[in-house]
Amino acid sequence: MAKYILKRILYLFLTLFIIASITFFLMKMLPGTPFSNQNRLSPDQLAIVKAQYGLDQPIFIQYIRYIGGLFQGNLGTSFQFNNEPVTQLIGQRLAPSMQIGAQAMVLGTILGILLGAVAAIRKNSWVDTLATFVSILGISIPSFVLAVLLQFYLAYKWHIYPVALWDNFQSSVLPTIALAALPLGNVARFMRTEMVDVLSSDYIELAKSKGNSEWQVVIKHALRNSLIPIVTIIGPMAVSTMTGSMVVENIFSIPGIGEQFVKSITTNDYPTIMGLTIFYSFLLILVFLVVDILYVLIDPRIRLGNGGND
Amino acid sequence: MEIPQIPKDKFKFLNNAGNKEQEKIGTPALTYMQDVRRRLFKNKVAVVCLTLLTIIVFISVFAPIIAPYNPNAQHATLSNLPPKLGNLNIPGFNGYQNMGGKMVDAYAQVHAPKGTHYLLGTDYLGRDLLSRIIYGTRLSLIVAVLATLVDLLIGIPYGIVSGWKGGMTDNVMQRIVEIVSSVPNLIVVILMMIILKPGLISIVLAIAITDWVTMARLIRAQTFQLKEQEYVLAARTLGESSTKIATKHLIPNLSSTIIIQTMFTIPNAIFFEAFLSFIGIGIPAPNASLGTLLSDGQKAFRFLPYQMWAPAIILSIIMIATNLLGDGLRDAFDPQSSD
Repeated sequence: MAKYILKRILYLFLTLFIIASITFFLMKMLPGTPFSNQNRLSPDQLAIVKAQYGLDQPIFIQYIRYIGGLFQGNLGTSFQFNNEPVTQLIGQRLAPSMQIGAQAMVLGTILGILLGAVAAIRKNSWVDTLATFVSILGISIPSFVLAVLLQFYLAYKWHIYPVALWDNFQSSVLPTIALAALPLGNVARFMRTEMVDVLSSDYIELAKSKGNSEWQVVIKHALRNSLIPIVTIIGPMAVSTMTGSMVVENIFSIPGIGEQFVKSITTNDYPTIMGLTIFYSFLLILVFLVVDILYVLIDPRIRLGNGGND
Repeated sequence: MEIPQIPKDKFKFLNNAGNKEQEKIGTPALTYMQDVRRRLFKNKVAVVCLTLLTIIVFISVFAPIIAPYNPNAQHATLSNLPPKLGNLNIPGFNGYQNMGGKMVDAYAQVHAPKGTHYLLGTDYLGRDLLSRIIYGTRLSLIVAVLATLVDLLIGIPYGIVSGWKGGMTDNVMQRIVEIVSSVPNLIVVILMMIILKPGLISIVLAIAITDWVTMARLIRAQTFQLKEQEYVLAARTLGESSTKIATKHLIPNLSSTIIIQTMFTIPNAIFFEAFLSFIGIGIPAPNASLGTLLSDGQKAFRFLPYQMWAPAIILSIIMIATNLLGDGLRDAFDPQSSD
């Protein structure tokens, strides 16, 4: 186990290194610089500014410097916000993104589990049809379409929640719902399939024949065993939540990293784009790693053998 | 040893007419594909989705004939007009607009020529929204289809080679897949969009470059199973080249996996295109896609909600229909997968 974890952590750093390198060279291939619009700069001034950011050095030297900086947790300085370090920029904006992301994932997972479980127990009834319909809507309707509709009705028309604001819990409700739809749909679907499988297994029959009530069987035996595989979809769920948050944060004007990422793209702020790319990748690879380890720990049926990861 | 020669006339038919009748096959044997089609058409949801998608594709293909106006023609005087369905007086579709609490005929206000009516209204530059939506859907579908094709062109050969060769080749190829798939799709797409010039080709490439991984993985896993089959062994023993085995034996047997996965790639591509256009790095102006229309609609939704509704509904319908059809196809190809 320890060897497996060590190997995975090694892979994590290798992957990050490759991502950082690719991002770096891609950014260098970009046309235009962040200073190209500022006609007021004389060639001399431009040279000074370039030297200040280290842009006058050969690309290879810049690359070595950048990777060296990464090892010290330095992601460079932003071009647009008064030379603020990118790490600091991310740090300030992390909390709102994490909050709505976590809220959405927890809400989506819990509702999804309930919906999927009920659908499986009452298989082929109207409840099942309704649950399937809801999960298909959740999977199909893009988060930004949902966000726009929520904003229009719940915020603008009916004044239940603020249109675009970030201060208290109230203002996080709409973005959370918009982001929770997709995890809800996915979890409900997954849960239903798992639960149907488990409910038709022998140990459930045994538990029933011992005279346990239906709900006892469901809660004590079926639910627990169907929950284990849900762990595997946490990774993809984190990816989709992150994707959604970029545009949902924009729609609701939330000062998070997703909104920052989109803003950096439109302003050619390379260091921030690179920094956020690496940060996002790190976050996701970490989530995948933790999920894989958790899965092995939770489910004793899984053994790490040779070639077991194929 | 000598084989005894038995003259032919020693053999004779038994009188077993009844037996022959028993052996007869009553209905013609169905091929696998016919079976799949029958199961698919039995599924009502899938049929409805297929019909809807067929209509949408038909309208998109014949957009130049069907669209009532030029989607990019601007009429500064006729901007932001609400929907009007001829002279029918249906609330919401009669050309009346809420202005300061009163319903006002917006068409009369801007002195629109008699008989002017826009089924879904106009946008802020006076462009016909219906025509823009038709052309936008067309563009979104073109992006999705092209991206899926590129995806197939990379994913299938990659998966087959990786699965077929095995060993070291497979190991290296799978590490590459792991690295590509560990970077969030969207970030790769966005990076590609920044580097390439904005436009159709860039979006297609950007989407395809991340999407092929899933296809390659599925194909590889299937190839691993297929290459152990007797008919592949037979083909090998007969001296068929690897390329021929791949095209003649593997791909036909992979077709169900490919078709099902394609049905899930298409909505994914539509989503990414809409997403990129929505945040402003997708299809450049003046062309419309569902994403740009939705983004424009969102900006104006306080006063002109109709501009947001139409693209939102069309986008959602396409996404739901493709997803449901994908489910239907999966059940049709593999009846065991559904419960």
